Amino acid sequence: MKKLSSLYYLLGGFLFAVVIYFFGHGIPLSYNSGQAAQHLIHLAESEYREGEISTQVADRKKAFNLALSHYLQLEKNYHPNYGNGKLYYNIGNAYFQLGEYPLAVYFYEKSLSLDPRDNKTISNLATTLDKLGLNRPTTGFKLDNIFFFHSYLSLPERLTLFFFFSLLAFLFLSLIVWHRRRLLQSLAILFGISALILLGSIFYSQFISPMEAIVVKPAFLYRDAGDQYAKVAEKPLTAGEKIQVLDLKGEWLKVLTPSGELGFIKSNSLRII
Amino acid sequence: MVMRIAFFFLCFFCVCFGLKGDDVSVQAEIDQTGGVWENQPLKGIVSITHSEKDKVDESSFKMEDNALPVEFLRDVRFSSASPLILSYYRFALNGKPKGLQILPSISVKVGGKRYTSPPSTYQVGELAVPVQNPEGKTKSILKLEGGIEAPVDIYPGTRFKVTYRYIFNDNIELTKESLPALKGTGFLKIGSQEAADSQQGSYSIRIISQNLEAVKPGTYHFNGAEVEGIVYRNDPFGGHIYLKPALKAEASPISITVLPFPEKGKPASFNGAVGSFSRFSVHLLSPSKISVGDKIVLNVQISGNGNDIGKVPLPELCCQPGMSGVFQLSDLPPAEKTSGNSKTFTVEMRPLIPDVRAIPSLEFSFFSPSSRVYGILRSDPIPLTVLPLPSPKEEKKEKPKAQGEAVVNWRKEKAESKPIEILSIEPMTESDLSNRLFGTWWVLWILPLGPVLLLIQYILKNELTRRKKGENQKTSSQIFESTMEMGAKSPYFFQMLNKSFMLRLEELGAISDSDINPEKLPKGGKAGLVRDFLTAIDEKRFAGQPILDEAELIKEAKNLFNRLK
Repeated sequence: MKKLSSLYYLLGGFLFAVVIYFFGHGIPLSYNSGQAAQHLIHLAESEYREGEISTQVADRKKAFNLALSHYLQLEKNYHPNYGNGKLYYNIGNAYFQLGEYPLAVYFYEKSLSLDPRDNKTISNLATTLDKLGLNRPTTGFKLDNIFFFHSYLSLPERLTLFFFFSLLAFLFLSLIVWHRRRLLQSLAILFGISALILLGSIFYSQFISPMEAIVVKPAFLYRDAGDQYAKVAEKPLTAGEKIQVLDLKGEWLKVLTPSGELGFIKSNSLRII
Repeated sequence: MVMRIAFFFLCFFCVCFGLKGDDVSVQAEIDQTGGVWENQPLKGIVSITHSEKDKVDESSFKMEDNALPVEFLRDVRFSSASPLILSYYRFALNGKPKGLQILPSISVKVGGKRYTSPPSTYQVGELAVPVQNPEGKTKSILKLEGGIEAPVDIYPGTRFKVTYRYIFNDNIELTKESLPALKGTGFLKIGSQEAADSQQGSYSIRIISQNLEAVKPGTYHFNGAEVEGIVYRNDPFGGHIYLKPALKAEASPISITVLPFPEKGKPASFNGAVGSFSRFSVHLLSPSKISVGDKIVLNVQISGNGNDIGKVPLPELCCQPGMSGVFQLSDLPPAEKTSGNSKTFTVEMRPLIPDVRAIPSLEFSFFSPSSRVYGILRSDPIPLTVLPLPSPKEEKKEKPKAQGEAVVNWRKEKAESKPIEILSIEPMTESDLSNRLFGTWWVLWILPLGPVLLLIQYILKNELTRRKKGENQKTSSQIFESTMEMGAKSPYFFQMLNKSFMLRLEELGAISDSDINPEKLPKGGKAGLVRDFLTAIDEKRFAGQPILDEAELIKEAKNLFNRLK
């Protein structure tokens, strides 16, 4: 019995170490794809730096364009939609340098969705919105005071924590099967409840909270799915504006603007975060 | 009984043979192709189905016991293998009054035997026949009249109708027709020619008309119209019998005067709109606060009962007061849309100067032919704010310097180009391109897998516990050995000895429960031996007698235990 308990502790410790490692580093790429990725990263960064120090407008633009093309190639090859957001931040920077502010906003928002606490992204996003004459809307989560982690942690981070807490809860429950201890029961309950709360936060993000999108080119809002219908307002939506996507009707999306206007917009005018 | 049945069948067969013998059938009907009209000669067809060897007697046709002259048309064979042929004959009858008529049976001899067709019915229609003059002869008449249906005064844009009227009382085939006014030379044709037929007593009337619209002022002459035709009768065989001479008819020339718009009271904004209009409005579609050169979009709507609201032109906006020199209209023609009795124009223009306060009130004027006066409608002015464009900064003019200094200044200017406004990029490694291992949705698999693993462990634990419980129970040999090791002096010796022997008996199946009293053991067999041994020991112990030879006791116990196998 003692040997069995030791085995369990060892196994639990090993899994814990594995979780911590991958939580920080992610799944490593294979050797060959890693070499190619590193090369492309190096090219992109060097082009970007070249653009930063260029004094001629044409040279600067060329360098940033090259950097952007490399970054976009990386995004196409690896699409780290559950990563740490660095790639999207760099893409946003490249778009900003080329004057494509709405697209820069989109990629900054995408980076923030993966790393909400990154100050550099927040700062650059604020600068871009200032260029567009827009204000950054506040988070829409009403219970932010209690469930602070919902906005503080990204979805991948919450998934990782959920997994970690669930694993510990099941480990302690397994120990309870073999040894009934009050301490083990308390720990199992603690981690179990934590995992459930995180699961609730994850499901809220995925199924309850509305999708958000960035308007990448000015477009009119119509009363129904078609430009033969009346416009909601004579003024089109401003590029760079963040709106909520409520429904999909063919190539038209039903959206809600920050000012509370409800209408339909063509899907090619915005990008969903 | 048998005889009755045989007689019945005999009659049945005779009837069948009798019927089978006739392959001839005669059918007669009136030919209704092209219609059958009252008092007009009728033609009919008799079709006879017969065998080739049975000849048809053409002189034997009769209708109501009267001879009926016929004309042979043709024979049609059914097939090369069949002897049957179908013979067609034509006959003619006098005209009948209108209504449903009966064609009586027609009989004919075929192969020496007479056959009769069944009667049939046919419909005779009413024919408009010319009224007979007192002399009993019909006089054919053809007349032509021309004219226009128009208001008293025709102005450019006014619509009217040119008509020609045929009046006739017989079947006439036209051989010449010249109706110049229908061409509408000098006018705009609206739609295509229309024809309408009617009847007035014994006369037929045909009216051919064309809608025209006046374009330019002036007097337009159209020569007289003339038509020519021949009266005809229908023959019994569907052809025409023409009667001479031909009939001619002429109409007098038509002259149309289009008056110019009166100059008196003509507004400057008038550009040809004719009709009665009630509403003229202008709305701004683009923002009201713009800069010089920005596009302005206007919605101009005209409502009313014009000749054709779709043809109402857009008023001349460029030259109206407050527009010239202030706004520039687009070179492209405005988009137009007609809906009901309204027409809408979408006009684009750009402000040329700043400090414009409003789009001025615009004017739409029209001419009403019915009242012969001009009407003017005005729109409301639209507030507008036009901001000036930012003026370019004045360039500093420096003295031309030496080439070296110029290069330095040039470099300084280039170094002062637009600074980077954002924080730089994040350095990346390969790991930044990966998704977090436990940051994807697959981690949700722990929800079903975790409970399953727990359940497995629970079951495993129960199984192990059950097995362990079985292993804890010692055998009789083990108990006996430990008892021997214990020695007779041990206080538990006799108890353990008792237990080992009883357990042994249970293992052997001699007893079912090892916990019973040894005195209750059976007297015979191995159980009896154990009973004797254990009861002897108990008697000595409980009688207070000492057990003198403990070694002897142990030896005896071992012998007995070994015997119990």
